[in-house]
Amino acid sequence: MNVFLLLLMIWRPLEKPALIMEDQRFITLHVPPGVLADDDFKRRLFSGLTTSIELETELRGVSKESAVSLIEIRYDVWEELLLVRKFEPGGTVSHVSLANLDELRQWFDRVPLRIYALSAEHLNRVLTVKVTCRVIPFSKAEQHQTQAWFANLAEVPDAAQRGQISRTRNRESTSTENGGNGIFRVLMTTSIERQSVVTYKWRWTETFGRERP
Amino acid sequence: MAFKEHLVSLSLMMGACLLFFQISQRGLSDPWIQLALDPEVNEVLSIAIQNQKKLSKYEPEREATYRAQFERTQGLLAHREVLLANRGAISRRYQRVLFVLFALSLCMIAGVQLWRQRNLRRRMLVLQHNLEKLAVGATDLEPVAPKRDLVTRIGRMIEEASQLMAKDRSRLKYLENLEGWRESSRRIAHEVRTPLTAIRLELRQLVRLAHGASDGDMRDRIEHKERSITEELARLSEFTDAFSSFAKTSAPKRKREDLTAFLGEFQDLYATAWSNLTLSSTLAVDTLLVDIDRRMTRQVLVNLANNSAKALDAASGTLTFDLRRDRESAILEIRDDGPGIPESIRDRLFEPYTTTKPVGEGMGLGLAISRKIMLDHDGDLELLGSGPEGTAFRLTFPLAAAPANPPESAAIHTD
Repeated sequence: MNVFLLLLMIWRPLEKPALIMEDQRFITLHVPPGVLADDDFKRRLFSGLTTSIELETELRGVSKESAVSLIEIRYDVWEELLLVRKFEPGGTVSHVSLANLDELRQWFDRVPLRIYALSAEHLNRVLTVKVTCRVIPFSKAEQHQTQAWFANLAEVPDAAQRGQISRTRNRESTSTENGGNGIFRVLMTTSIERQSVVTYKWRWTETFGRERP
Repeated sequence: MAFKEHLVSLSLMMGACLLFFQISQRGLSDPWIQLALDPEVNEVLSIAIQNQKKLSKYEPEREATYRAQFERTQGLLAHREVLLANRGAISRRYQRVLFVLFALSLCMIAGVQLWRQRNLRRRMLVLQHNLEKLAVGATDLEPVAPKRDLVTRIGRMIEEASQLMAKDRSRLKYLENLEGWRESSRRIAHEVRTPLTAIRLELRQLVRLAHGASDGDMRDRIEHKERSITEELARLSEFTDAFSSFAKTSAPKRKREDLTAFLGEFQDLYATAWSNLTLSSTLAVDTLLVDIDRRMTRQVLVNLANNSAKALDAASGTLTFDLRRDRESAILEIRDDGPGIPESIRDRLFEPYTTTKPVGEGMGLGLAISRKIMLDHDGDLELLGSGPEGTAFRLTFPLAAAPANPPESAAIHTD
């Protein structure tokens, strides 16, 4: 019972961001910097991995439709710069370089993210907006590179036995040889999946297109 | 045990093995995964890349080298971070793969075991059927698939027992049949001999009366007829003797003999007995001790040689004796290069009164008597084969006692 109370005291739910209509055209929101509050986020980010914040928006009211927005954050360890890329509905892509995490938080507060492009039929109607926000710790390219690296790891003992230098270490090739443990290698490498480390779900019921009281 | 019971017990064993593996494998695999994905290593790598950066600032002329080292280390760190993020999934997959591999191996072992069990059961059923057949005296046994196991050995023993039984039955049947023939011969000999003696006495009386006759011409004619009748009576007497001899074939008086030496003596003694026949032999060097009646055994050999010589007619040929040891028997194969025995009589060759000779030239009792002699020696006489290239007989003698250490079998050839 005490533990439960303690957990209740510690637990702070992430504040739901407000939806803002931009130019009578887009639904936007400010991604709460709290989405990056994961303990391992900083360590992963500073290892050079690309953290993706994926927002999937589902709109109900007229018909069931969805859109995806994406923020990719990569830390250039050599240059010590945070490289942020933003992909928004309507095909808008923007880049920004930030010096540190504080600047990133400020950028989150300052710059809204478009999550849905509205059409005329959406206006002045009661709409239900559901947003699923996923924080994925690495990109697809990094997933594939690690899969290839992991697959080649299995070749290292054989190569070492033959007195050869590991190709993996020399980065000569990332292709896998079909040995006796080929199936085992495939099974193990496919266990490296791109899954979110944290997921938030928000829901609003709003009417867009008229002045709010 | 029934197949279903095996299946149930194997399934239970497999289940227990899988459960034990599942319980223990986590404890076995987790430390290794922990070791491989130790977050401390990542921290060290992180410090290392920071150091590379610092070093490049201190030694700008070597920046490219440090940058390359930096990128390599950073790449490694990134890969490890990806793995660390998937640690749970990797661990689960690893355990699942091992579990499936273990389960597959068990299934394979169980499958092979069941297959072996089923196969063994099938072979045991064949043995059971063969034993049942053996019990009722049937000889058409099913073959047991040959393998190096006890079932094959038992199957072979059943087969041997069946062959022995079949041989004994055939021998018994032959002897019973022969006994019938001998009884008939004895009766015929007796029935013929009595009037034959009376005729002979009456003939003597008639001749005596004729000697008293005054007519010389008549006397001559009677004497001539008397000689003619006496000749016919002598022939009849020969036949009666043959019948009688067949009927009175006595039991052999067996003595321990070395068959090799016996055959050598026979060859020396009868080397010139048949003008158209040359005796040749291939005799085993080692001693083959058998319990035989010398006289009767010689009679068998003489009988066979007589037949060969008569079959050759005017032509010349060779009679070969080939003696060898076969397990607990001495095998003597006698083959000639004569014209062979007609196929029509081969099946009943050892039955009395079976002959290829013209009427009046032979009774066809020689081979029947010879086989009877061999059977009385607990051996046998068989026709091995016959054709235009010659005829071969096989004589089997049971060995009296095997030498303690039989020398390596070798053969010498003498003509």
